[in-house]
Amino acid sequence: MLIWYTIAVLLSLAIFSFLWKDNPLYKFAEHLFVGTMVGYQVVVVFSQIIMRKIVDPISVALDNRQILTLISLVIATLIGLLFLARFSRKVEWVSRYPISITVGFWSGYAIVASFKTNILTQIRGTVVDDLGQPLLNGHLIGDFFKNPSLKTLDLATAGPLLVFGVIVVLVYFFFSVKHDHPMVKFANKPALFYLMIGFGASFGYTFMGRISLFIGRMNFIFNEWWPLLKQTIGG
Amino acid sequence: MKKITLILVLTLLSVPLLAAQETDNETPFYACDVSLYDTPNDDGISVELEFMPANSAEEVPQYAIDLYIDGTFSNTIMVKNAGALFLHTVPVEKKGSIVRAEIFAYDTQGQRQGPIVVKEATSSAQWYFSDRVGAFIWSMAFIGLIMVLIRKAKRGQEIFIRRIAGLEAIDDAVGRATEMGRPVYYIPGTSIIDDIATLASLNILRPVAQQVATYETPFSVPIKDPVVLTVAQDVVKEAYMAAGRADLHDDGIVYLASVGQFDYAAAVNGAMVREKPATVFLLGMFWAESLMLAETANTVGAIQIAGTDSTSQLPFFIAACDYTLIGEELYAASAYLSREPLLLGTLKAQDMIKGAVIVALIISIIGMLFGSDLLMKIFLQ
Repeated sequence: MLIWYTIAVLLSLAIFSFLWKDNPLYKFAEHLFVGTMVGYQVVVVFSQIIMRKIVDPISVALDNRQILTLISLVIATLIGLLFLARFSRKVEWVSRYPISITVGFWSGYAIVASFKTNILTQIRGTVVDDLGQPLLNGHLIGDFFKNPSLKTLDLATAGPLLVFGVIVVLVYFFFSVKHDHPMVKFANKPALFYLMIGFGASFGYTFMGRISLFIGRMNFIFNEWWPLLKQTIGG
Repeated sequence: MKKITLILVLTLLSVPLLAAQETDNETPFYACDVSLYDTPNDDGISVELEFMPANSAEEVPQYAIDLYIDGTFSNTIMVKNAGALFLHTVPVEKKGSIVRAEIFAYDTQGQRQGPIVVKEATSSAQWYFSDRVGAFIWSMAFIGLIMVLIRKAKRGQEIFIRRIAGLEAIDDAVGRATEMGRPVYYIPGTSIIDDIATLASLNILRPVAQQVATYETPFSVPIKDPVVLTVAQDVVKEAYMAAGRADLHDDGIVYLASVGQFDYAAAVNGAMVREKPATVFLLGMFWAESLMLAETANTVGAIQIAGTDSTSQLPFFIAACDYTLIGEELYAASAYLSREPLLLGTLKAQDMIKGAVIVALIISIIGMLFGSDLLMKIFLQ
């Protein structure tokens, strides 16, 4: 146990040493990391894809005499094997077929789903909240004037700010309209303001996530490895 | 006397009837609202059950729903009377299965009463996913617009594209690397080929590679995904040929650095520190490795042009890089650089759809202000 923990600590420190400068320790850790990952991926691809998606289903289809399934599996495997044509300069061009099929299939498959999730659902979320109540709600604004507080102000302004932000940011990303167009001119500054506030919040949130990763590593070194080392040496 | 006898007889006969009536009044009235219907937009492998108790929890603390599939008993669902709607999906093995639900009530003594309601439904498959009609109509309109605008662009109609600062800087960035005699690094993200950002990045790779070949600058394209590697190799090779410098092309320009996320970052960071590129392009889809790559490029003094559609990584690029293509600017970049009619038409169509989206949004909001969600249902189904 202590040996593995110690190796993990040494490798962590070797990677951290990059913060000082490129050095042989970092180079060793980098090459070990890359080599291990490539080896690991080869095993994963073999067991999870070649065996589980090709060999096993073909065996089952053969046993059960499912001819159509067998044909579709064999065709898909043959198309996949065309990738290997890249190793020969003469038939290198054949490898473009599986790429075309992959890109073509996913592009077509994604069109309607993307429209639904990335556009229609997003616009819907700008018009109404999760409970189906309109975001531009006159009652909420009225409530703020009747009972002014931070909570009622938040409820009254959240919807209008969101709607305004979505529209100006959409206008900001018009590429075929000149900058001096009045609509673009009007939307430019508020859109950048919205974008930067959003990015700032995202930056802070992710940064905290990274700090927690660092704390996790330090926690491992000082609260797991170090007590284990002391315990082992101390007998 | 006859009248008295008749009255007595009628009175005697009415006693059991009255008693029966009194008994009826004492018997609790067990009731519930049940709907059993085929699950919409599926391939016939389930039916939906909606159950709403009509008695109070004091009258009926618990209900039982016996389920039969094709006449065979399947299972019993016990539902505590919380006075709330109970939803359940009944899975079946094949389409055309007949599902029967028999509802029983448990009285306060725990006696099972009923069945108080019996419902039946048949599972069926639907050929069309009706929930996506709106998305289908929008997609068709978009595709139609693209086709019309591509045709217009091919006929020579001028399509204006506004200036994108990050792309204007490509010439200077490659020129700087040439003058310094240091390499240009191009990192097309760490995603797979199906990712739109990867495809957009590979579109930008071609003009960049062409310029690098023209200036005879050393070039390096580290890749994470094997399929992206194959495409990138072809793109770079063709770019060198288009620039008339096929002699400068080397198979080692585009290489597989590693296949995992952080080992790729470690490998590319190490390479950058050793080779000290003058210019680094970080265009495509990135995750947590984005800041590591951008920071290392900054440390070695490289000019960085970054771009991604990942909103969580954009802040890091904005903070660490010299130029950043924000979201859709990455998609527009290939049209901007190549000025190909196909891409220009697509870009114009995107703008028009964005305009339509804004109009649909405003109309839906106005409709909701007047208490009608009809317009929203039409536009945003």
